[in-house]
Amino acid sequence: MVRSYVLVLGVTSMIAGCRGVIGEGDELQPPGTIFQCDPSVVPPELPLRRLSERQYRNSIRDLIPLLSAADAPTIQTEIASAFAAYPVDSRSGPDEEFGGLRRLDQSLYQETANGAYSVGQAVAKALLKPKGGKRTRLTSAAGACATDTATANDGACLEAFIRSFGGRVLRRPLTADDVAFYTSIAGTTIEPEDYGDVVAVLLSAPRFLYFVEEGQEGTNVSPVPLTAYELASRLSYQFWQTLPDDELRAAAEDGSLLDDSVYTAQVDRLAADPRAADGIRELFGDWLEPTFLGPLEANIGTPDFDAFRGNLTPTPELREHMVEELARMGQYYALETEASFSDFFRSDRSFAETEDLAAIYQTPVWSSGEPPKFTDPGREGILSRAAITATGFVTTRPIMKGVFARKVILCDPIGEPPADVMDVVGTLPTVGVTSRGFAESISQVRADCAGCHKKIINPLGFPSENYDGLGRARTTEAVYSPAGELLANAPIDTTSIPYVRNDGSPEDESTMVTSVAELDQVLLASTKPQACFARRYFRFTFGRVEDKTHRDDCALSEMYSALVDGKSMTSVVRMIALRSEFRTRTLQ
Amino acid sequence: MSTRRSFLRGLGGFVLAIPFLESLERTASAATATKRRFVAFTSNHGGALGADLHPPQAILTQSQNLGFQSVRRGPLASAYSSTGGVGRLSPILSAPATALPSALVAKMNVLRGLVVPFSSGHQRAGHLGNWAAANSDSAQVPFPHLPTIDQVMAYSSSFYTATPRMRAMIALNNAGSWNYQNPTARSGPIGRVSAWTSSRAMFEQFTVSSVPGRGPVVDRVLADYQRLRSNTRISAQDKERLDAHIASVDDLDKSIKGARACAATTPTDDSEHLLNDVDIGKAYRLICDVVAIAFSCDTSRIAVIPMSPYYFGARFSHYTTGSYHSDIAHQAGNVTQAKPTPPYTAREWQTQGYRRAFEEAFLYLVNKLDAISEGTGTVLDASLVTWTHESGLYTHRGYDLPVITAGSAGGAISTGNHIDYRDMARVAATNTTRAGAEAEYYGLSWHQYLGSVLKVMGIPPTDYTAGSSYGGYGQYHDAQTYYGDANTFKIALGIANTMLPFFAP
Repeated sequence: MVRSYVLVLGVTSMIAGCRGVIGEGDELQPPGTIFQCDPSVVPPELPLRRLSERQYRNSIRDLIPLLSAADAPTIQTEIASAFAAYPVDSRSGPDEEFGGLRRLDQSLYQETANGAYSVGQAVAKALLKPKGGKRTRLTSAAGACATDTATANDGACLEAFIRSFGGRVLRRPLTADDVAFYTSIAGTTIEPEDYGDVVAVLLSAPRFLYFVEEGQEGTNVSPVPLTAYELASRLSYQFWQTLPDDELRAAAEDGSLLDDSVYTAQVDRLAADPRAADGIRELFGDWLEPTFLGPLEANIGTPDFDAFRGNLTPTPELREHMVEELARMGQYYALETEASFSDFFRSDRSFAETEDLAAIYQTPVWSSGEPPKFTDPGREGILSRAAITATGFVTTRPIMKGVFARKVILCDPIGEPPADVMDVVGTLPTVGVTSRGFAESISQVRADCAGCHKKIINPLGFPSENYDGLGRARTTEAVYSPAGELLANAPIDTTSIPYVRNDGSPEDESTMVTSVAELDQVLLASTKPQACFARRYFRFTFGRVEDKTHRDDCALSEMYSALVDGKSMTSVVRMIALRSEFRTRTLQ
Repeated sequence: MSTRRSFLRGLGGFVLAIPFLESLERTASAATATKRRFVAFTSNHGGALGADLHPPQAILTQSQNLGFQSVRRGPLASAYSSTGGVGRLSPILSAPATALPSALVAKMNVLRGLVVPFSSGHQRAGHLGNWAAANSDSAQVPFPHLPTIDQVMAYSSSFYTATPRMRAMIALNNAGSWNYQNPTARSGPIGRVSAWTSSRAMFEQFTVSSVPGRGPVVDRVLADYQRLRSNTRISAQDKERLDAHIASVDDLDKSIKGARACAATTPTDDSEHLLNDVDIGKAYRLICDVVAIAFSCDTSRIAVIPMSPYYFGARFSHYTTGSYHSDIAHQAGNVTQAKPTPPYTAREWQTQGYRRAFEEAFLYLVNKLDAISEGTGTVLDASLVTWTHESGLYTHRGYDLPVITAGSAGGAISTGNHIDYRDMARVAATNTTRAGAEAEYYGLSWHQYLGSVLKVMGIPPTDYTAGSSYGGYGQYHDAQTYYGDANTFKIALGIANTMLPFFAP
């Protein structure tokens, strides 16, 4: 057995002093940065993975033009309501609220079958819809033979359509058995409506809704190499969230995709294509989504908030723009520039694409090219972005910022608060105190709170206290009475010992930071963010949580090492697709 | 033309001629058997003091000794008043007298004193029995996931004698309803059941359209999956998931083939974009409208409607100026508090929210169902509509849990009662420093309530007792310290497979 211990850090003391764990049982122990790669171990496989809702919708979208390119936009409108029947994916994972990914939702519902059937019927109806008394869409899809009055060519016409359209739907050439089956949907006399029925059945087919992977014939020992068509599907849905395009299909058809150099070139092509933005934005959007950020405009009209916000009137759109910035930032660093994880993690660039957010950052609106630098010299990385620092209140929330950093950025668990803790909170004065002061007083009320708050949570939220409840930079904290009277301009305290490793080591116990920039340095030095991102991207790629018995550690450790070593994020994004785990299938 | 195609044409013409679907078989059996319906309104977060939610204890004039504790009952009508156009049983259970008339009170029950016998953090799925789905403190709920009782009903052949168009209508994504990946075979992992945020989309599921002039092709879809099932190169685990999908397609096929007509007006509005503080009542009315149509047409007989819009950014309390979680839900038990500012205390904000939920959701649906005639009574008479709350008197407390019901499930339960299941001889907590200073008592188990509901709905124990250590519904945690003492804990759970006292006629 060959084991490569990439890095060993003592992190098991993380939950000491905390009671229970928020979330489900999978993250009872901190995953840390320990990866034990044993190349002889066969990784597990997610059984019969289904397309995500987004992949399903995209696939239907891209199949419609194959039926009628001219009417595709109209057909999309005609079938739109049918999509409501298809279940929406939920952010899922060990802690779905913090870092959960929609791709991890592999639930099967009655509505999965019902919804696909409804959409298939809607597409079939749209295909057959007459235009000017003629079924021009069907003619476009299957040729004049499908709508002419001749009957001698009906059988060949339908079969050709099934082979052509069916091959795109099922993402591989149809076998003779397939053709016979789908042809049998029609009666002995073939009518235009039979095409509709065939389309409806194809769009509910298992090979469309699921990744049906048999592997290459002649190999029955796991892991089995995928066929070229199966590989094309994996690649396309990984990077583009939709069907393989013509070039990828051609590489599958002639078998060249199984050649390493061709395969690598295709990985590079797909990752560099603008269509890759869809998947990457979903990854970063899900991973970094601040689920605790409520409406920013809810307190408009209350005296203290009105006094606090001044001329800034927050809107629901502003909140959307703040959150979207996180996904856009990920897109930029993972796809559009050659930059390291450190560059991403410590980015001093604004990705504000709208005036409202740009105004908060006091930067120009960005649309393309090199993003503008923040004018505020202290703002950098993820933890000082408006989406993370804003609250929609007069006050900030150092505790929630700390929870976000600990759970989302570091992949560490946090102990469960006592059920009655908020009763205690209610006895504390809330008027006339700073946000940090209030957070610290909570931590000191009860000993069973302090174990988590004083070391694991709060310290990660304090360094960004120089940003207010609307994400604006500040040098003092304006403290208001409920009536909107300014009580004080309190000094900001961003100092903190972040206890990133929380391993009791002298270094961890004594390293103080005074800003987000310094905090980011300490976080990066711990390599926990790199390990955490490797885990998130692994989950996103394979649709499952990594194996707890280290069977996935080879893939994880390679990504982790590349991130720590400063390799470009674009290369890391490609790296996973080049690994054998991506190109084979474990039969279990 | 093939024979199969001719058959489908005939069926297709029939289905397409009608706006809504109903089971032919069910209609035939309706004359001889009550079509029982079940609705679960659920609410989370915060607690409701007895003084705010329950009728006065003075009306509890009847007592029954269970041996280890007594339970009490009184006529709900004794607590009812109608003054100034307001019908009232308690501060929360009050509404315009037109919505809460004495005749409706006679069809209701107000239960209290039920206990979840382990630490309760958040229990979004605990209402219906899957405590393993708690989103906190999982270490204290060590047992595996369980299908919730709505799903047990939905897939019981005793509840549906023919496949309905929708087995259950699960509104809004609140993780309250759980079932097996393959519910028909009761196999595979147990996960959340898909939910509908859009009332319009839920309504549109009542029909399944086909290509004009054609019939359904679900049988061909099914055949396609069965074709793959015989493939020897896919793994055993692949086949497990394939079987789950096959079962769903089979269900879809049967539900379409059993379809028949039922006229209803298509809703013109949709709940999906109304889940905000201002429009929340309207959103729930739209959802309830669809449920009423489904019950009337027998498209479905089960609905689960979470009333915890806290999770959706909207609240019946209309509290928008801060964090409902921090300012209200967790503060209502405090005697002194800095927030929120007048005119309402946190307790009053919370009470106001619950009262609105009662009027704008629960009573709205109940009155709609009571207005639909069926047999010699109404659809409400054939239904059991419940409203349960996650906590008891104070937030995150599992004592003195309330249940509000309406309808008698076809005479299977007694109505017009206020029933108190608390063991007044055993105090769990005095709460002298909390708002209201209301003591909490031990009482009968929530498991007994869930089992009673299943019995009322005609579900045989064989459909839900597998794996239960007490022969009733649900999993139990042996940390009996939360229940006072081990002996009483065992006795209380030992009767969990029997009907709750006073619940049956």
